[in-house]
Amino acid sequence: MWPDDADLVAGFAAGDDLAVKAIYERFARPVLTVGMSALGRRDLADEVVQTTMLKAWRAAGTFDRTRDLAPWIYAIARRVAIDIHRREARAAVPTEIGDEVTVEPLSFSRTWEAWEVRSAVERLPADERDVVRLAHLGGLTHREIADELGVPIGTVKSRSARAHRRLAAMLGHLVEVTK
Amino acid sequence: MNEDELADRLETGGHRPGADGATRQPGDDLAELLRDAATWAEPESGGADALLAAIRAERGEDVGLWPVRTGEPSPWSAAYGRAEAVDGARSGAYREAGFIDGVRRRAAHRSADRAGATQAAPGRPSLWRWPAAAAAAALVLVVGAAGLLAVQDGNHERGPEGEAFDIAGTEMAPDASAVATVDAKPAGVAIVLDVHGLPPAAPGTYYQAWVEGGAGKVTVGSFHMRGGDGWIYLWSGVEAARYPMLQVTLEHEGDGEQASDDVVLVGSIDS
Repeated sequence: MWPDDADLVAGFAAGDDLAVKAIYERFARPVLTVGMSALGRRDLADEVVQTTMLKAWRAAGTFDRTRDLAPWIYAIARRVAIDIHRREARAAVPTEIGDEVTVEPLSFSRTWEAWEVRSAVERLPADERDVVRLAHLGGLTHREIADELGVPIGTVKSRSARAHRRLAAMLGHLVEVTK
Repeated sequence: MNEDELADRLETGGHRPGADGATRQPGDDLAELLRDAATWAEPESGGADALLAAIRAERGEDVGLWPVRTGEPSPWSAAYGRAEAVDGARSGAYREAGFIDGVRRRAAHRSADRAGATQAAPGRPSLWRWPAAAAAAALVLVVGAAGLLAVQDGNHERGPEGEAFDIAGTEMAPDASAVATVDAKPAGVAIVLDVHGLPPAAPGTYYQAWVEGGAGKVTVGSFHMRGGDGWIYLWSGVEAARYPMLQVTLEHEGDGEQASDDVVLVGSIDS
């Protein structure tokens, strides 16, 4: 459907339904993760997703299509999260000192790592992603995952090993691994 | 650290706080992120459609997707009316809490079953297995309940504030009922539904809440109740005085954005 990101962004800028949905499907999850990491509240993170996507559409016409799409969306998401963070901080203090409130800047490296980890997880094959999710989020052992998924424990072990090798390859740049 | 070492570090979960003698190593931050519910959170269903509606509205096109009329808030406001069925852990916890509880509970039950099976000697009456399994299951329930209380305490959860209204089940859901607590906020009207007896929506279906008045019907969010009874958090961008009736309908995925005729809960939210 989209030979490359430049065509996808062109369709997105034009408001093409399929392009809009493709952008949302590809980036809503990492943006949500950034929002939750930065703000710690689900309702505000949902707002980050929708506002980021709308701002991205507004700016898509001027996007330099020779650049990578993901860092551009991430930058918008982080900016939106900061704005919402400031808004919430102002709302939490008496109005007479509201203008003087200072906001702790969100850690760039932390939100970028959160974005990268989520993006990497999304690129895993679904069966491997299920194993990683049950192991890390669910805290299950390989035996428990095998029971949960109804597959042999050997299958769980091999999927887990493959998945973590893929993750290490995709995320190695964040920890400066050596080849 | 090379890639294989990083893979091992990630797979074993890296450094965990409190582990004796463990020191932090490269990759531990990434392992922590893999354990973070934020890494696994799913966007709201219908988010892409809401985005399309907002784009069309900004371009001055006929929105079509949302049942709103002239003079009402933009489709964006309607789309942004969101619902959150919080499976026991209530507001502030991630939806993934339900997933975590579910898989851990099932795993604990299986472990208890396995322990019982291991302890039962061949030929011993199977009755002997049950006390061990029951004790383990009871322990799971106690620990689970304590965990739930801890979560609620950690969130400093309070009951909803505002004016309460009884919402009745219809012939489609005669055992269902709800109390709607309505609270006007600067950003809109917060509606908290405390729902009881509404069966989980079957796969492929979901519940959608609406407010209705003389000018039409506006959606205020969707939910599924598959985690059991609980509070549903809804937001309305229109005033209860103009849209005094609250309805909950059963919807089928892919059937579009218009309300179905399958009303399961209905009542007034305006005094």
